[in-house]
This record gives sequence, C-alpha cells and structure tokens, in this order.
Amino acid sequence: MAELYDKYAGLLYAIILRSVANQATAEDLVQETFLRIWNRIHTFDTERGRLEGWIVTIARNRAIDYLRSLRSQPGESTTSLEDLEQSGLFVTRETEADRLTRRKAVGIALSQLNEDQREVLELTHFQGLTQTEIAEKLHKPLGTVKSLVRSALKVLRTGSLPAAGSR
Amino acid sequence: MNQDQFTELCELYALGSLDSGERVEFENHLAGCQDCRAGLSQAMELNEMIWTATSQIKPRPQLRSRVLAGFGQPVKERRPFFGWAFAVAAVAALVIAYFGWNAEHTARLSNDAELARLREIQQILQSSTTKQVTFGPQPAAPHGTLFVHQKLGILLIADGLTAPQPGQTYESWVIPKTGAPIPIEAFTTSNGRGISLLRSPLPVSDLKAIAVSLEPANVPVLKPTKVIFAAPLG
Repeated sequence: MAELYDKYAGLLYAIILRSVANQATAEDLVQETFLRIWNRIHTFDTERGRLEGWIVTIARNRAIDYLRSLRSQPGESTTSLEDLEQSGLFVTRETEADRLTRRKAVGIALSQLNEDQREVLELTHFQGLTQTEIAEKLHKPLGTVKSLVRSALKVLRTGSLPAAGSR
Repeated sequence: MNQDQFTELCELYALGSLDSGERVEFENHLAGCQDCRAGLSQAMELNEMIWTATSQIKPRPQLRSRVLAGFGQPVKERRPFFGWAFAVAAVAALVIAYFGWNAEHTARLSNDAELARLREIQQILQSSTTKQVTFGPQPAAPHGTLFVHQKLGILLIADGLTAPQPGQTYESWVIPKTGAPIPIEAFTTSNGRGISLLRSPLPVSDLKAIAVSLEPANVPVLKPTKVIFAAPLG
C-alpha cells in the first residue's frame, strides 16, 4: 500500500482537490480512496486491467459522492458510481506505450476546447453535475448544454483515437 | 433514441452524469448492445485520460502517515512538516485549478507579462511574510482569502461568485484609508471562483480593504457601479 500511495497520492489528491477545493476534505477523501482500494484490490485483475484507471475512477467518484451529498443528491437520480468501479470495465489490450500516446493526444485535444466547452467539461468531470444541473447552474437552455457537452466530448473522443494522436 | 445517440451517452453514463430518464433508457439498451458495452469501456478510458491530465499536487506528508497507519503499515516520514509550505501547495492547487484547461491562458503563457504575473502570484504565495486574511465565512455568499504582502501586493481568491452576465465583468478595487477607491483590474470567474492580483499604487499599509464590483466590460471605471463585497485587510 505504501508503494501505491507513493505512486498515486499526488495524482489522486490533485483530482480530488480540483473537485472539492478544500484541503482538509481532499485529504479525508484521499484516505477514503485508499481504504476502498485496499478493500477491493483482490477483485482487480492487475494483469488485464488498467490499475491507474481503476484507482483514479475510485478517487474521482469519492469526490463526486461528497459533492452530491452536499447538494443533497446522494445518487438518487444518477448512476450509482459504485457500479462504475467494477474491475471488468478497466480491461484493456493496449500497451502502456499506446496509452501514453493517446493520453498525450487527449491533452492536446483538451487545449483545443473553447471556453464554453471547457466549462461544461469541468462541471461534468470534476463536479459530477448532470446536464440538467449544468443548465440550471449556467442559466443556459438544456439543449445548448447538451450540444456543448456533445461537441466537447467529440473533440476529445476524436483526439484520443490512435490515428488522430500525436504519433 | 437511435444507436448514434446511445453511443454519445456512453461518456456521460461512465461519469454517472445522466439524468434519470436517460439513464434508465441507456441501461435498458446497454444490456443488449455489445457496441455500447465496448463504447462504455472506451468512455471509461477517455474519462480517465481527462482526469489524469490534471497536474499532480503533493499532499502533506502527514497524510501519508495517516493513510498508512490506517493499514497498520510502518510509517516513515519523508520530510519534516512545514505548515506554511503545505498551505502554499493547497492555494497553488486552487490557482492551478482556476487556470487549468484554459487554452487561452496557456497560449498567453508565451506572453512575458503573463509569465511575470504568474511569478508575482508565486512569490506572494511563497513569501514567509505574506499574511492570510479570510473574509465572508458564509458559504452561500462570496467568500475567500486575501494573501497580503506589503511589497508585492494582494492576491485575492474568492469563491461563491456568480458568472457575470454578457457585457459585464468583475473589477477589483483597493480602498485607501483616506480617499476614493482605486480600480485595479478586471477579472472573470471559473466555477464561481475569481482570482485577482491587486498591484496597489499605494503602499499596502495605507489601505483598509479591497472590494469587488460588477462593471460593464471594456469600459473605464472611476467608481464602483455595483459593489459585490468588500473585505477588510484586518
């Protein structure tokens, strides 16, 4: 666990802090994340799965669960985040090198988003808002928000394709 | 919903961010659609890549002790604790998050003035003589922290700000102990957070507060139009 902590704590802390914007809360959630990893690591096939992806997803979901509890919406109207932490969802046939190349391509694609697209992406990925909640928060029509989310994800999806990467 | 529309929902489902109606429809479809199951797996990976694009921030060393102690692991401190340094790291995280993903800002990094501004912010955060003043403790109202350095200026980090309407902008002001408010700079918000570097033309010791107002964008201002909040310097 010490090795896992040393390898991932900086990343998990950054992701959680970006969501909750509070140092003490972020630390609590990092601890909760490692506890969850510890309790479930036996279910994870480290030979076939993306361990980092699984760990990062657990961390992000802890932050979103926390934010939703503040909004008094503990997952009632949204997907159970726990369902999205099943190890089977993290199986991959890609090599580490391929993933690294794609990750760089996603980084480039992120920088190509316009301000509105970045804003909705921040709200979906780091604040866990639904499109309806985003529309209410930004005082924009739901259709506009859906269009923004769709276009942002399309840029990233296209950018993450191996052929469109930075190879 | 057709297949293309379901495919487009994979990322949002993977985020747990679908509204309930869409979620039920997607889950019913997912059970019998191999393409969408593959799409969900790819969406999970894309989301991971977006999250991991976040710059790493080292948490306080005590957290390592705390986490490992929880598993009965031997705890070995790697370095002594300097509270100030970690407070700086936390604030730096907020600044990074504020500017994060901002391609326009990234592009502006090539601009010397912008680089100088970031260095000034860094200096204020890292200086041992910088004093922190919090204001507006109510979560629903604008609240935040002032980082006050007698020579370098004042860094304002405010939360709870509503996004300005089109054609409007936030303006930061210094309020002298005697005399009229002095406008400093226009700034915008990201997710309710605004950051302004107040380079005061007067010595900080001659100031009693800072203020933030809403102003028409791209119009010179002489006095605050609509004051959103004022924060005393303590």
